Amino acid sequence: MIRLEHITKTYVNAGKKFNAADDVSLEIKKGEIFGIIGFSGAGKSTLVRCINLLERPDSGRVFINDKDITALRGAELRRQRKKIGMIFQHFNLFASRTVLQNVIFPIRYNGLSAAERRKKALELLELVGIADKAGAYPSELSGGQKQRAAIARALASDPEILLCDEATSALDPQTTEAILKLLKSLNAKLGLTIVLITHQMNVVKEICDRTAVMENGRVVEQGDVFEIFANPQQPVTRSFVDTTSCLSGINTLIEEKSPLVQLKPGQKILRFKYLERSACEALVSTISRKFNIDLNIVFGSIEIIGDNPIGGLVVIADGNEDDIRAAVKYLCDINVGVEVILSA
Amino acid sequence: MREFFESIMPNVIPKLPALWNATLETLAMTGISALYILVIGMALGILLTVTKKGGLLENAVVYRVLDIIINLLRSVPFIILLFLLIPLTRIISGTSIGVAGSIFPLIVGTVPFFSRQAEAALAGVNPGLIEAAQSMGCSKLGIIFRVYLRESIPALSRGITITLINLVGLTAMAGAVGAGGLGNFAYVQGVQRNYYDIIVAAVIVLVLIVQVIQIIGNIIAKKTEK
Repeated sequence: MIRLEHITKTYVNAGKKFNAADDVSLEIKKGEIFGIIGFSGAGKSTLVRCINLLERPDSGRVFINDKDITALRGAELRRQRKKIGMIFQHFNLFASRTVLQNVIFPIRYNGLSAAERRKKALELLELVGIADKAGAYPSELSGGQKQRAAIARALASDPEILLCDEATSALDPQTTEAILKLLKSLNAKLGLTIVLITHQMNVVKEICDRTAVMENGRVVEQGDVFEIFANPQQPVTRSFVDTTSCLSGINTLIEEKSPLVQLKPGQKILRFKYLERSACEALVSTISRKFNIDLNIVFGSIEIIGDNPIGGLVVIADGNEDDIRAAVKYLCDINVGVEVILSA
Repeated sequence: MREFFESIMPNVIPKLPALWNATLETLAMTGISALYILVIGMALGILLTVTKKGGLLENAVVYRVLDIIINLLRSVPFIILLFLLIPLTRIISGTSIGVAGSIFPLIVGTVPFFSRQAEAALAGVNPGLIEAAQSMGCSKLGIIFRVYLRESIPALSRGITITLINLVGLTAMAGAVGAGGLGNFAYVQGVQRNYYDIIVAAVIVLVLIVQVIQIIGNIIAKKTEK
């Protein structure tokens, strides 16, 4: 659906060159929700703007439905942009227009009659759940309502693609959740392909099918969200994954010599990580029964991503040295990652 | 009432018809030149906005040239500009005196000021809105009219208010050198004859005009601010 080929974009700031996009190639499939994640300055904003050519890449090409849109100019490009909706971190609603007028804005000159435009806009407001705010001005809306209005406006010209530029970064956690649900339902209902950029890993975890991790203008890692979460390869990916889990909290406890982790002889602190989609067996009871060891759970973080559990446990295992070793071997065999963090 | 008025402004009563006439002249000078100033200044303000770095139609040459001309004109005091422009005014307006002769210098003197006011108002439009409109496939002309102008109405109406008030002041100055209006009335009938009450009467009318402009401007700015 969307194919980026060798996109490069360089800015010169105060005489210094800055690679906002450095030979980025990506393919986004029809109907999927694709997340681009990175810290600020990683170049994700630039990359998403290359998809509708708000930023024209220095080199590289952008294909949408196999059409090279980097070749388009003027009116042709504007027609193409109508097929790509976009929403923003700060909503960018027209303050001088009511919500309804904002939604009508993009379809004002598309040949529909005034009554048809109005009807369409009202239907969209219904779809995003703020039909009652049609006559309100943006300044009278909450952040979540503003983003809903912006989504309705972005959908007015029936786009196939919706680009979301940090669309939830200015919202509180509850509102973020609600907007993400809305995006997911639009994806399902309308078959909308959604590309979203974010610095919040939980956004990716929540709704994305696939993701790309950006750092210094490059895509350092990409793939299925589950794979990325289960097996982060790059340090930057690992740091994002860590933000959604509490498992690394054990390191802090050890550093602080917390009484919780003062081990008695024979005890070990282990970290289990679910690496495979099948990891929903009764792990803890199985190994304590089978190997006669006691397991005390210190931390646990298990989330469901794309219908599969992901995460892990930090436990204090108490038992015979050989039994613990055998248990670790057993776990490795069934593809659970095990790490001995501390031995007494 | 009339007696009280006679006692504090004895010289104004016989000059009331002239005062009325002068008021109409001031309003005419302000109104006619304002039409030109708002149209030309707005066009230049838009041109400055879109040609500046990062603008919709970025063009360093056009921006630089306009910028320099506007700065040059703004640095000439109006009273000097009036005299400097006399030959040109004669060619354009056919005369350099009276209301007709004052319009051209008023336009030249105020357009640069208003184009800066317009530029500042348009600069206040959130660039995110321009980006949003572009993402919706809006044309450049569409962005100018449907986003820049529409979104800056409150700021523009404040800029227009300041400009008109300035303009009233300049008409009085033009009047003092022969253009008619309240400035001329105050100078010829008041200053030269040493009739202090006539000067005061002219000032009162000017203050009233400025107040009315300010109040209307405030109402429009408030009404359009959402």
